[in-house]
Amino acid sequence: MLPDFDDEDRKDQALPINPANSDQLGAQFGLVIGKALKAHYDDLVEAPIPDKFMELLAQLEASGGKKP
Amino acid sequence: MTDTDFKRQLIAEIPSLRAFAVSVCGSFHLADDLVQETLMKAWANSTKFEMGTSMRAWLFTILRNGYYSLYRKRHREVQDSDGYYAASVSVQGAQESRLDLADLRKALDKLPVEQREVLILVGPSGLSYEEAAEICNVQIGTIKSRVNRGRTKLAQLMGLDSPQELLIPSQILKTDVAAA
Repeated sequence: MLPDFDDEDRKDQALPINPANSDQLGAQFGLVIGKALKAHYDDLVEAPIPDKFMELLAQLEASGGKKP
Repeated sequence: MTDTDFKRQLIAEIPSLRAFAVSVCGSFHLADDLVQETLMKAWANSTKFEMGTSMRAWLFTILRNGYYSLYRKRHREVQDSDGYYAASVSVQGAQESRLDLADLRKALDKLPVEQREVLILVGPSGLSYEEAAEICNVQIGTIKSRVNRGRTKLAQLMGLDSPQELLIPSQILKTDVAAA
């Protein structure tokens, strides 16, 4: 038996953030980190798209073939 | 699928593809090169796309492979920061959310790329753990542990490590910026 380790485990459980417990993590960080990441991603998705991508696809379509 | 249908689907995925690319490499300049390369590869390999599967997951896989082969060639993390990325890039962002974003992005940039990519794949981009595992070519359990490690590290980098802070999320994101 390693009682010291058991004590450590109990101390860890008492902490608000325990990386070993994914359920706890999900509950506590899900809202804050998830919201922040979504805001980050949505901001990028809404960024103006350069014309060059549409031009490239138009060229590929006009060339007809599937080979680059 | 006709060329026109295929093209329409590609166009619809460009914003997500670009958001993923910028998130992973941290630069619009490099991200746009990766997106362009991905579109060309996708077009050349359109017959390999399996109908009924996720076009987004397929394109993300192509883009990620392109990024990693570049990464291997350079023998280090490919970062080509152009300073444009830290602030809000869409026109809608209010001042407050721009500050929050800058904070989050600074923290995101400090994560290892394998954590950064999964935080984008399984959360914001709407892909499943299964799809993320396929894209990254690892087990689902590995994706889950990378997500947890990535979230923990992000929270630490953003100073979210006390219970009080966790209870008032709207104020947390501003704390570091206000102090800076």
